[in-house]
Amino acid sequence: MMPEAKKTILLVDDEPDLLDSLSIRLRASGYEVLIAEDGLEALKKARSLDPDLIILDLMLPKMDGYKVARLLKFDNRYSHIPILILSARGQDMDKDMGKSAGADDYLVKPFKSADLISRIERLLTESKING
Amino acid sequence: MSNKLFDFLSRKIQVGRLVLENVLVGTLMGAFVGVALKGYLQHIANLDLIWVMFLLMGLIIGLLSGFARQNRMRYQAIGEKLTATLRDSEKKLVNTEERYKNLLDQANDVIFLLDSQSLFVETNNKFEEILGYKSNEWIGRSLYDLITPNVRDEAIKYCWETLKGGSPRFDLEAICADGRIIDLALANSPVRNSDGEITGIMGIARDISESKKIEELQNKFVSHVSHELRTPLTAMREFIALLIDGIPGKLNEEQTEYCTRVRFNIDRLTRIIENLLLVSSADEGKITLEKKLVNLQDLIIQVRDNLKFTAQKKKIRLKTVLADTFPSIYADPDQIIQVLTNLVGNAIKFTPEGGEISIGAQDQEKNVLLWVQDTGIGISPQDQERIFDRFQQIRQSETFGRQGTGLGLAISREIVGLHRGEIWVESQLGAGSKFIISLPKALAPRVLLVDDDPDLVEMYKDFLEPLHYRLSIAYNGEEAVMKAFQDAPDLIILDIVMPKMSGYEVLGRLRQNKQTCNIPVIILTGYGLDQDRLDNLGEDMLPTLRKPVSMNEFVAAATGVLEKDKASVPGRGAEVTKAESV
Repeated sequence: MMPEAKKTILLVDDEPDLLDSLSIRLRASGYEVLIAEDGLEALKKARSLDPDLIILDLMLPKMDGYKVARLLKFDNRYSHIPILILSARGQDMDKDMGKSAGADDYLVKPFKSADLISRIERLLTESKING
Repeated sequence: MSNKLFDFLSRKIQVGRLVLENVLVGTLMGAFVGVALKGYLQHIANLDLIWVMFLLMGLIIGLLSGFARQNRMRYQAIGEKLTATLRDSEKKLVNTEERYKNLLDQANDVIFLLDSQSLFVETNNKFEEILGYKSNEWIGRSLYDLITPNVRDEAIKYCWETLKGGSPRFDLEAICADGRIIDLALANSPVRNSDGEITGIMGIARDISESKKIEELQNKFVSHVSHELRTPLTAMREFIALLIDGIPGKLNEEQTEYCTRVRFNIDRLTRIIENLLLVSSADEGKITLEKKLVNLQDLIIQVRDNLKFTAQKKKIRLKTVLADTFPSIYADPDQIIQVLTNLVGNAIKFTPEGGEISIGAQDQEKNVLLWVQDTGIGISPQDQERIFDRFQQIRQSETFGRQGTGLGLAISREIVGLHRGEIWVESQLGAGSKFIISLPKALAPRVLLVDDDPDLVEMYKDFLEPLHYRLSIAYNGEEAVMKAFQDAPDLIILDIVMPKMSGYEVLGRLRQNKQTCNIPVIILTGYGLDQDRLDNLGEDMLPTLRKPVSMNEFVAAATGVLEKDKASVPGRGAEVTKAESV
């Protein structure tokens, strides 16, 4: 690995099992993991902790994922943070809505871990080039 | 016989009596007058002669009046008879009418009669009851005013079919008096006069709002449950993947094997849920095809390669039967692959070890055939009828273990149907099965030319001739809407200024309906365009040809849309055109 600092990923989901399993996976893949269990917490943590990437569920308590994505993506201070939506809603319309809310990528649950990791890597390199 | 004779005799006697009576009265009157005037008349003539004269006169008067009276009575009798018959048939008519009205009004469905212009001639009680209108209120008004705009054009098409002698059925949405919209299932049949000419339409409509609602709920439920199921599956798959990847610590071979099996089954469950979702979105009309010109033989090879190992594991030979050259057709390659994968997957499942499965393609005149043949257990005739229905599995499958949801073939049929093709099976118990898909061959794109000037239409036809497109022609707006439905063109070239129904109106009608809303349109105009009207239709960026138009311009515009449409996503054709015409 490069000597540079570990990348931080903010993982947002209201499902404890998914939070646990995914954070183990992400840590094993060499990332720092922050966790938020509802939309509001996600927004606060995204703004205060400046993660390198956000993995965002859509159906969340308190504030849904679309709104979280919109509030971050249409704010110059946070729009650089790539957002990957991870949702059980796989229909095209949901994907389109996610994209129109500013999400950078969309993955449908259940997903293959390898697929998730490769998408994360791609988003992180893209944001490095653009940033 | 004797009755008739009696009638005849009594009538004759009656006539004789009448004549006699009158003669007597006449004679008496003559005599009376003679006596009364005797004194005066004695001065002028011989008395005896005058007596005779009066008697004669009386006789003649009596005879005449007797016959007159007899005739009058005869006519009176005839008249009375006629009146009686008339009254009788009138009564019968009223009875029939009443019976007919009762029949209409006691029916459980909405029944109405339309004339050849689709105007209401008659409606029944249920019409009032279900739709809330007074029945007379609609006499003379058009059926189409009763229907929501989105299905209006379809209704026009169906009524047209009825007037040509068909008896189509279709579902429509009707607007009630209180503004509610209800779903009606309408069955039309032509009404003929005694010469057998079709003079109108009889429509019988049933309120199906309830069942529609239930259907919708069902679909929502399926889609909701499928989403709910995905969440725990995701967590399960993730944890198992962590174990297999050895993140908490390396597993031994046996542990890895077991975990892999768990993961395999999680994936299977996931696929089943995907299928359920697919079926419910098929019901909602959400499956859209991304048609391209594809070589089916390439798809077959792809499917064979995908499933080679699964077949090998069961020691089944998987071979392909391909022709040297094969026509390309318009189809959605991903969906066709899914269908073939389904069929070959089933074949592997139901073919014992050592069997053989072949996948082939065959070029027919108008269609291409794809088939998957196995040497498996076969399907009984009863089962052959059911297997394409949802949640049905063949009975013998119990001996092979049940696998899957019984949705694979239902989805396959759905997909083949969307391609306007057919799927069926030929099989005998114990002698293997052959599933056959017939798909219509790629046809040249169809262009609908709409212009009220026949000379211009001829010119446009000449322009397009070298491209070998299939052409439909409409000389007015109504015809254009009708043809857009019937012929499902890939492109409409639409004149804006037309009598009766303008191009704007045609556009509006086309866009309101899901069957025609995505057909790309090129506008033809001799004048400027009413940009506001186009904006209102959401069609502010349609490609436009200004008259007089040259052949090059015309061909470039048409091929531009059609060639692009080939590569783009059908169903979004209109958007693509719009974006690219900017």
